[in-house]
Amino acid sequence: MKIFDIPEDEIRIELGDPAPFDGGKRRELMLAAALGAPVGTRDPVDLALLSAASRKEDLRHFEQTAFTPLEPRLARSIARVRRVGTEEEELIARGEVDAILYLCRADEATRFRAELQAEMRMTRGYRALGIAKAKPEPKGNESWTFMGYIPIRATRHKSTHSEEPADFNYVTVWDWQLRVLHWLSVFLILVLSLTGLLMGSSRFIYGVTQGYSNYLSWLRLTHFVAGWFLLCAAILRIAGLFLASNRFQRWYALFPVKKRDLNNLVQVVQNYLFCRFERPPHYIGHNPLQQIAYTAIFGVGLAALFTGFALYALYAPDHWLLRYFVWFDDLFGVQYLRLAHQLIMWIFLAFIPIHVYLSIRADTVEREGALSSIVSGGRWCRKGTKFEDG
Amino acid sequence: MKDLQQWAEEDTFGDLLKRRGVSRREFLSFCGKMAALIGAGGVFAGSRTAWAQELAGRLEGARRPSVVYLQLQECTGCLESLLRSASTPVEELILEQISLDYNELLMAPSGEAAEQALATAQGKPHLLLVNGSVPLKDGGVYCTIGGRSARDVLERAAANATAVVAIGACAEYGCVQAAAPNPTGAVGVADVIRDRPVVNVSGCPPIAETISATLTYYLAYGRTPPLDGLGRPLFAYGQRIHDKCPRRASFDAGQFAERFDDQNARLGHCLYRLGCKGPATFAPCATIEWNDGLSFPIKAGHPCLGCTERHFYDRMTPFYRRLPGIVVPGIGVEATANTIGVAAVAASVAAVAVHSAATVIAKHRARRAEPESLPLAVLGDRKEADEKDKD
Amino acid sequence: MATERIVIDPITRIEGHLRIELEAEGGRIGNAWACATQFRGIEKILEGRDPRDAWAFAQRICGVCTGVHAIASIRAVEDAIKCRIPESAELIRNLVSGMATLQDHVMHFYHLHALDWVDVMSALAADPAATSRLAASVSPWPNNSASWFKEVQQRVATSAKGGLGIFASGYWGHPAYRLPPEANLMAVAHYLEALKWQREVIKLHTIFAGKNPHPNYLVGGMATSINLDNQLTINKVRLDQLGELIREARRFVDEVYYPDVMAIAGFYPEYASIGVSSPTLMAVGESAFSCSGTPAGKPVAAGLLMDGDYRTSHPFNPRMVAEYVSSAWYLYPEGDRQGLHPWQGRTDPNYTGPKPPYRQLSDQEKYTWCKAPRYDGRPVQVGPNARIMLAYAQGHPDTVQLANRDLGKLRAGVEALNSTLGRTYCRALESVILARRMEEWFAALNERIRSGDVSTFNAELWEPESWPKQAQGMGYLEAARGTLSHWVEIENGRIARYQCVVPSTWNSSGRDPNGLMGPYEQALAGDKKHPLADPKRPVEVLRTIHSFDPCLSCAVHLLVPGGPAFEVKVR
Repeated sequence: MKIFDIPEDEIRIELGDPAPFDGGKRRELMLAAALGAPVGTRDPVDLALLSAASRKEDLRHFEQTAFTPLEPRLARSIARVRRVGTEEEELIARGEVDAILYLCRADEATRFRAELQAEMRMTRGYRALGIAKAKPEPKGNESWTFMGYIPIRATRHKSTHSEEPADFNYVTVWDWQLRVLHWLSVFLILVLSLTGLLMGSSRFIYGVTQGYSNYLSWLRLTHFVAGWFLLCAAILRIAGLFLASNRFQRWYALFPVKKRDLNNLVQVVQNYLFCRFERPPHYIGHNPLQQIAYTAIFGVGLAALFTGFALYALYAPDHWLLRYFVWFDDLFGVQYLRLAHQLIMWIFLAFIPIHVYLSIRADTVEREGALSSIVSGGRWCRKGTKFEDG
Repeated sequence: MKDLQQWAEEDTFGDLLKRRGVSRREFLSFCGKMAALIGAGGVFAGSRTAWAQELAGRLEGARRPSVVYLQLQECTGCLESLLRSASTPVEELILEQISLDYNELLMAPSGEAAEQALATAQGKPHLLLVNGSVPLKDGGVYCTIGGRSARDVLERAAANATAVVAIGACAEYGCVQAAAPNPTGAVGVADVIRDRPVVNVSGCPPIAETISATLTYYLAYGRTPPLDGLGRPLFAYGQRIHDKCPRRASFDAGQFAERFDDQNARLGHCLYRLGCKGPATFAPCATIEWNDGLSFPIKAGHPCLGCTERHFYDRMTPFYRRLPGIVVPGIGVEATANTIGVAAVAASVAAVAVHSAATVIAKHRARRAEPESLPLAVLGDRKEADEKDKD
Repeated sequence: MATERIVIDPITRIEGHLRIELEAEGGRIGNAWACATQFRGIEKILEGRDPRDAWAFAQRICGVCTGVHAIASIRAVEDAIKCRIPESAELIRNLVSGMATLQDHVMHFYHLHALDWVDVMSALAADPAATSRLAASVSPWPNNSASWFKEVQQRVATSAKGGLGIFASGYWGHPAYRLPPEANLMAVAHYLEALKWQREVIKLHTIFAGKNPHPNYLVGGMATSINLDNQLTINKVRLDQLGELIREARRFVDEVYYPDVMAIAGFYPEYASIGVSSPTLMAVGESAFSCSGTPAGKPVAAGLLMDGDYRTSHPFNPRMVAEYVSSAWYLYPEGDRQGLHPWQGRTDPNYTGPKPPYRQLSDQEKYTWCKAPRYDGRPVQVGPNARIMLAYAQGHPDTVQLANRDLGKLRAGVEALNSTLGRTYCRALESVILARRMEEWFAALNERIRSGDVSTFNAELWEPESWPKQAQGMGYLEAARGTLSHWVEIENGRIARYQCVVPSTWNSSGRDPNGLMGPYEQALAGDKKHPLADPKRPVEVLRTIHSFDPCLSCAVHLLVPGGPAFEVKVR
């Protein structure tokens, strides 16, 4: 790959923490590195060094009087600079650390230390740019001083990978209604699970009450009221499937149906399974796997409601509404219905850790903004990302 | 001379009562009892006394019903139940009258006369009462009466029946012999007689009063009582035992017997955790009670088995567990729903932990695996790259 | 005179569904087949279930001797898991099964059996006052007033005119009826009283076990707690009710049932030699005795009287029991000649009989749903007479004293107890003894309560986790109709195999591979001397069959005043 084949805007230069030697200052090192660049350079590394140095020092105070370009054999370039308004000149050499060290005839200790350090620290594609300076002497008798090195990495990045706020668009995904329903359901399901567990397990309540109390009645009342609310929430959500103007919430967002989405489903599953990040496909709303998972958990919720109301219907089998649930009691028998109802609760409780984890992960690792969107309703979408449902 | 014992065709029930010397007081007390029973299900509005009066009036006007009483594949417990509680003169009389045509049908002294009686009874409209289930497997060889299969006997008797009352769990759906694997293919009356509604007086056995009240209802109103979705009279099966249970207050208070005869059991606390099926069982046990209203299983300390519910031998078992266990396939170990649930939650948390660890590792690797720095001109790479290009 | 083939199906006034086919010649029965024509497969249904639930299934084998199967079942499970139950629970179980037996015996005699001996129509000719005097001469029962007898007579009279009603369709006027009118009237009156009595005394079940029929039992004890200071337990109110019920039960047995049986027996002495059945008799203890595991009963030990030697009690060895299917519609992989011990027992129905409707079963090799249990290859008679004869052989004081007194009156030896009359008499005799025992048990229970020992349940082995992985158990009960045993095999907390050997299985069994007849068949055709005067009105056959108190778990009879009677098909 040739560096100049790459469009400039895709090259990204990262400068690591400068490592000055012999008590030098970082700032001096950076300045030296910048001054060592040829005048009028287009090299991205030079530009980056210049840009970095110019924040600290006015480079116009210096002028370059001579420049010896890099010779591959020597692997270093040498610039001769002079501070404007003085006659004082300085030579600055840049190049591979070992080449610069060779130039400096550094002692064994410095050499060892510098090479080892550079070796140790130059991970993840960083490479060290060694810098040395010298007072100009005739006939090449200069005495070079090793100033240190600067880790440099040049990578090819698309502009989408910028973390700058300006590179993101804020997109509204979920209506407030949906968010309210979501958090209401969370609350209700937790209440239902807690009361259900307490009602169903003597371990929690054995010995709690002595004498007369309405302990279990209160638990049941809470459970039933929460159940009714959850039923309302479910009805509203179902209505929302057909009434919502938000296309991410309408019924066709329930399942992946398009061939492309189905293919993406496999991709998404693999991404989750093999911990791949920032890979396509990208979705603004739910990705195909999320669609299936959330639709399924909604179905499980409906099953919980149905079994719950079928059990609740036992108290008044001829109730105008409950009578439609009673037939379910006779299908498998009430005991098995009760069992199913309890197991469904456990499906929810097992779902919650996974759901919460993946949501947080989507926000922090994948930058998909799932967690923030269910709170604020919107998410940041990186400009230029190709969204499958965009 | 008119036979004093006999309920003649032209007589009303009131006439018969008079001739048999049943006092008005006895009769009204019976009607009050029945009214209380039938009214308990909330079938009728109005005061119970008024309703008892009305029932008495209608009952007195009732004509002698033609009744055929069959017994098929069963244990006779339902009939024994009737015998245990027929304690008032009126009840005795009703039972006696109900058995009347059964005599004509089955108790005639010879085979030929029995056929004749059967033909006569079947030829006229009649009320058909059935105990016991119908084994259908293998051509019905698992229960034969007089050489005929139970199905044959039932179908003949039902042909002209105005109403069919299945008494007891066997007649309703097959009860114990229909429990898995149902070796004899036992089914209930309603599975054989499909062309008209069957009244199911549920229970293994039913309480006597529910049987007699169903018949009284029919006598008084000339029609069967309103039924629930399973064909059971609402007056007896409209509410759960649980809703009328003497131990209900303990349930509401969360006071449970955890073991038989433990401290709580001795305090009369709720038996729910010992597997009581009262909360799922529609029956009048807690209101009518057994053996002349003396007691009933929950009151006597034993959890309800749910014997008025369909297929309770499969669906209410194990009887002593609040919920059935789940056999984990492959291992054969039985687990409770909570054990499985806790395991599932633990598995999900573990999966999250593993996945997040994998994510951290993968992220780290990804960083490491990111491409090496591009060739850097300042380090003399350009030439190399150019040379390579030339090659 | 040609051999006549006679079919009696259904035999009514029994607990169960029985068909008897006979060959008769010259007023004597030549051959007999007892056919159980109903199968429900409850043993098979029990496989794979929780052993603690088994009683509720087994109980539904029979709703008349309700509870006996439940007790045998819990005893078998307790034997398998080695659970010992508290003494109070033991006493409660005794009381419950004792009352079941008493109620059963009385109902059997009056409502199922008496009409074989009592000519109801003859009662019309009785003088109520004379009847009252007769009754007073045998018993101090206060209800035996002339006015009550008159009322009963009135009811029978009106009923007779209509040709229908309470006692319709009997073989009235048959020469085999020999009671004087007064005795007939007394028996009919007591028939009605017994109907009321049984409703009352069985309330003991309702108090201890929630309901009847089908009271509740519990592996490890009894579910009813004793707490004198609570409303929903056995408290003083309940104890008082129980005491009254037990007194009431004993009084009726002593003052009505037993005197009636003795009075009637006096008129039918020849039946002490008719209906002689299998000479091997077996019992595991006194009436209502139940146990887990091999029975070692006191005061009457488990044992057998073998081959007509009624003086020597041989010890009982459960290993000697085997069930055969040579005449029954089941399949053994080992073949029909092989007998299987209940622990190897199989219940695989394999019907080979004619397709219903059919006319005859006895021309087939297999003709019944009843397996043929044999003890050491012998057909065995079980029931009250087996119990009484065994107790007699072992010198049980109450039994010896009462039996000697009565046998003296009848001028008969102990061998007379193996007969149609003997079986009926033994039922009454043991009721008297049992009613006394009931009072002893109740007193013992009260004593325990007084001493503060109120535990009725052993929770130690309640959870299946505390059981061995594999276990076998057997439970015995001397039920009203004889020795009942349940055999259970438990694997991993589930029933792996379940077998019941029911009294009526012993008694009503068909022929075994050696061609030996079952006890019913032997009683009818064993000595070829059993009378049958009129094949169209086989009252003698019914006397003998009813003396066994058959229980075949599916009845086609009706036990209400509306009319026990029977259908006989004669060809």
